[in-house]
Amino acid sequence: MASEISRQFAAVSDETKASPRRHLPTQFIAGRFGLYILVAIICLAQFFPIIWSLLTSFMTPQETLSIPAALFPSSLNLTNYASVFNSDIGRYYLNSVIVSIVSATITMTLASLASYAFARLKFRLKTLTLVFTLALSFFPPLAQVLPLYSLLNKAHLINTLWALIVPYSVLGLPLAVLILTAFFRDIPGDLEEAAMVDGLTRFKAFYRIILPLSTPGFFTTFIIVFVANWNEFLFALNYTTANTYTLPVGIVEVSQTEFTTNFGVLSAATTLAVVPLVILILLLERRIVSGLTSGAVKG
Amino acid sequence: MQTSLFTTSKEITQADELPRRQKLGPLGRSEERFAWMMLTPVLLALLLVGVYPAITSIIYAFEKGGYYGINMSFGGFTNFVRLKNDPQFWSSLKFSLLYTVITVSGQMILGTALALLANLNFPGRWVLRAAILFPWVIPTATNSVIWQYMFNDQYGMVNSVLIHLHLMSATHPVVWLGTAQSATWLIFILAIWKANSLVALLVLAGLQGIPTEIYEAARVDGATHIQTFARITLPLLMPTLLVTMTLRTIESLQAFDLIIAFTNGGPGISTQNLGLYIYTQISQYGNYGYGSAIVTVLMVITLVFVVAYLSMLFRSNASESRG
Amino acid sequence: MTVNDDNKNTPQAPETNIFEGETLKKLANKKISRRSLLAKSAAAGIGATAFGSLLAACGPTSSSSNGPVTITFWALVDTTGEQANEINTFNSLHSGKINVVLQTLPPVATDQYSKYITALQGGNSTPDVVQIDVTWPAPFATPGWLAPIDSYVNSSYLSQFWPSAASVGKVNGKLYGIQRYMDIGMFYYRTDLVKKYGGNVPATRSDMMTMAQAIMKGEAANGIEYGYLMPGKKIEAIVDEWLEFTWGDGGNIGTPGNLQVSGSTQVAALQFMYDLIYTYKLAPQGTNTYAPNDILALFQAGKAPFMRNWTYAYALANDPTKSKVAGNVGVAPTLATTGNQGHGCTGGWVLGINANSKNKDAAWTFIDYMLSKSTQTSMAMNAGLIPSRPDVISDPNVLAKAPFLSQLNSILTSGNNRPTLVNYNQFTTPMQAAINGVLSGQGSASSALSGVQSQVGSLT
Repeated sequence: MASEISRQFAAVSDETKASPRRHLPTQFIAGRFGLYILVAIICLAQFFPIIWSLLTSFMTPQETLSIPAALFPSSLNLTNYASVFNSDIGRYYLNSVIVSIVSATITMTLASLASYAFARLKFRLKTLTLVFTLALSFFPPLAQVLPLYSLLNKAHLINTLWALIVPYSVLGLPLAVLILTAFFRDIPGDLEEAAMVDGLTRFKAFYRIILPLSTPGFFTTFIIVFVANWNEFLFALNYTTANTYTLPVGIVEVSQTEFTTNFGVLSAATTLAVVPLVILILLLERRIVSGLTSGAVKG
Repeated sequence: MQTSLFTTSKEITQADELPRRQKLGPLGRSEERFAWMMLTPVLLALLLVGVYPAITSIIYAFEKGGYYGINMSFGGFTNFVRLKNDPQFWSSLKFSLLYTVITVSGQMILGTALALLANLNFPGRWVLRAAILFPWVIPTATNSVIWQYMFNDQYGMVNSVLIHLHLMSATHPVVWLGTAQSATWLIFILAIWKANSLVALLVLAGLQGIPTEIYEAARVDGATHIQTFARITLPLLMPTLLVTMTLRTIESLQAFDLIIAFTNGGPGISTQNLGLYIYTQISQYGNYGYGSAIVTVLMVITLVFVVAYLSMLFRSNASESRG
Repeated sequence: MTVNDDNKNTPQAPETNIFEGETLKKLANKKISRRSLLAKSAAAGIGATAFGSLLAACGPTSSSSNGPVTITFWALVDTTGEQANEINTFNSLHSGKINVVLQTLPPVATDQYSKYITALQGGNSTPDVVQIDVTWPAPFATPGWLAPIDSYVNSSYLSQFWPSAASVGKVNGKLYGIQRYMDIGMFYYRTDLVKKYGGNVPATRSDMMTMAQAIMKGEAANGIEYGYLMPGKKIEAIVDEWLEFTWGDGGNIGTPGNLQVSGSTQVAALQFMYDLIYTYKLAPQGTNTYAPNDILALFQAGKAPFMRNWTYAYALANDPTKSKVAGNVGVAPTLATTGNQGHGCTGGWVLGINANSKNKDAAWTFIDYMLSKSTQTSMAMNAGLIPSRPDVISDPNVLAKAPFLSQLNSILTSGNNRPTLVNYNQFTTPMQAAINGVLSGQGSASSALSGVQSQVGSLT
């Protein structure tokens, strides 16, 4: 695997760096060709369920259950999308977006403060504190659902979106702290020292120097925390009602009945849930990450 | 612990970093105060929301009887003794460990490979970035239903493609989820497919942190590409890889919604892991005591894995700073 | 597809306070009604617009305390819209006094169970009215999560319902619910093929096997690939089917406290299920992965003459837009052995009241309405569900719309209930694993069932 990757790497970096020693056209073309074949295979493997969902979303109920499966819809049938739009999926989408963004923002705000301390400050009991922070994630969310419900019910938060925001914000902390600490450690120490010599307070050094420099890492962590919230099922199932369902529960609710599953509606709902999100993440990534890293100091 | 990535390969970069703050005194004390200030919000949040469920759970593990927490009484180690003689617990534990080892390895290898590819500069690489994201943003529970649909032996897409390619007879479809062996492997494939994205994203971010000058220096020295990968990229990525592996291991040990929606632990109990067994005991049976005992065991296992990873992380850092 | 929109279907539904926190209240300075925002976001292809307005949209809205009593009703999805219409009618009848808000649940039974357990053990006062599976009254009533309804009913009231519907909610001498609609396992057959191959609807296992083998041989060219379809996936339906084979062989599984699942009849029933797949090869190889919906798809495609399924399958198998065999589908009691009678396993959903509900009287008023003859008539005619009142089934208007209900009368009378256990899950979960394991070729029927016997024998 490693040698294959490095060969592909060779093909492309040779092109960009134009190293004279290896500049053989045939090798270059073969490498390029191999690279694109590899990318095509990977894309097929990564995309096939979503491609299948897209195809199924245009099928009639009979087509979705034909034996053997019809691989392509006979016509561009839009009834599944109409069903999805007529259902409450819009509200579930909104709930998912609100819950995932608000919780991820809270998680990242708290975690970045703590990670700065873990990564760059010296204090007693550091290892113990780090283990305590991580320890919550050893405890399966599965076993937290019932005890946490009583707490949230006493606080009258059940059936509001806070019933999800509160646990998601906290459950994301161990993960976010661990990743952010690793990213913050990657930033050279002298920058910050220099800033403090120039008269910046520690906190200003943190949010003027460290945070901007770790934008790619920060963004990656934010996306990871966001998607974890976006996918969460157990809390979403147990702490919500019709008004506050998020997508993972809502998709089940709109596409199934006691005994039947409408695969067309399921696929349409999934496609609508996933495709815009990926496009959004890619656009944000291009904007935020490449925009900032190009100007940032490296190494 | 205090080392930056950039000190890892001393042959190439001379940019050494001194252990940052050795001196104590008033400056050190103000630093310590500041550190605790920064930590307070997280610690408070964990204490308020996270600690109560964890502690109740550990207490339940030492109680017996009861039904959904009602009328429990102290039971000492009764639940743990029962674990010893419960074949379902051992088979679930075995499946959880196998699942974790295989899927985390698979995710690490494939995710790293994906990240290395996506880090190359070639036209159309955004497709690869999209390919990395897709499996991961499909809600896990929904995704398992879709996979179940695709692998249905009668109306599933996979068999239909095989029939169209004349690789399978239409009258004898393969029942993918029908045998313990194929269902197990399909779960592994699904789990690897679903989460290699997370590995790829983290590794990609790690790769972008490696300064290009290092590679140029290596090139000048005449290093081959394999040498460059093995002696520069991999060691520099090590901290990222270990952190990623920690995260994936914790989550894989606790896997639940992916499996319950795909096989429900079947056929029989051949794909039942600890997560499913805990769910059965706590949510379905109301056996808080016994279920919490399994949770406690799972927490200890997770702790062992995490301590192992973190000590590797600290060790690799320590050896670097000595150099 | 239904619109599960309680706002749309129930007038004056109070807006839930999705956000109650003070800080976000302050953020919520733009007033946009949630409905108009939803319409907008749908128009924009579910575009998420400015974040501030999203928060405003979910901000608290005024709900006056001296308005009507609000009853929250949890029930599984109903795609026909009938349930929402029934509730609308109730709300207009009790306008200003009681307002019922329907909150539909994701339909997977274990998900619903988990949701109810979480809410009830957490002591929440909503939902007020619950619609629960027939096996759940005991698990929910024993710890005191359901309110007894004995004070609202008398024996003449209860005599309006099928005996099993009136007694299914009885736990430790108190009544905790009455069944809203029935379900039962039935034997489905192709009327055209039965006519062609002998004429008599098979009532015994051997009759069915003889005819199925003849049909598989004779109709292979017409697409018949299998003889008998049954669910075999690791779900509740396989336990019910095993119970039906046990009952049809003159056996039973004993009584709570003394359950018997590994006797010779019980083992023979499971062995027969295994043989249908691997020895007689009448059932498909993939049976151990099929839910009721999967076998219905095969039946609708005309691949088999016989099937065991729930009542929902009747309408779908006879729907010409979904089924190749529409118009040629009949139902009969489940299979027996010679000299015995087939007994279908009963199912369905029960209405009950949350013990923590603050409005139990209003909750009962609503349940009484849902159980009334007129509501159940409407339910039978528009949603195709089986009413729990015999007087609805004998109504000529209902029979004109759903003729198969006349056959159901006798099938329902011969139906058997599953054991009433404090925790039915502790019985069914190991049973499901054992049966599915045997159907997957993981071990013999006798050893699998005796393994379960030690776990479930003493359950009460």
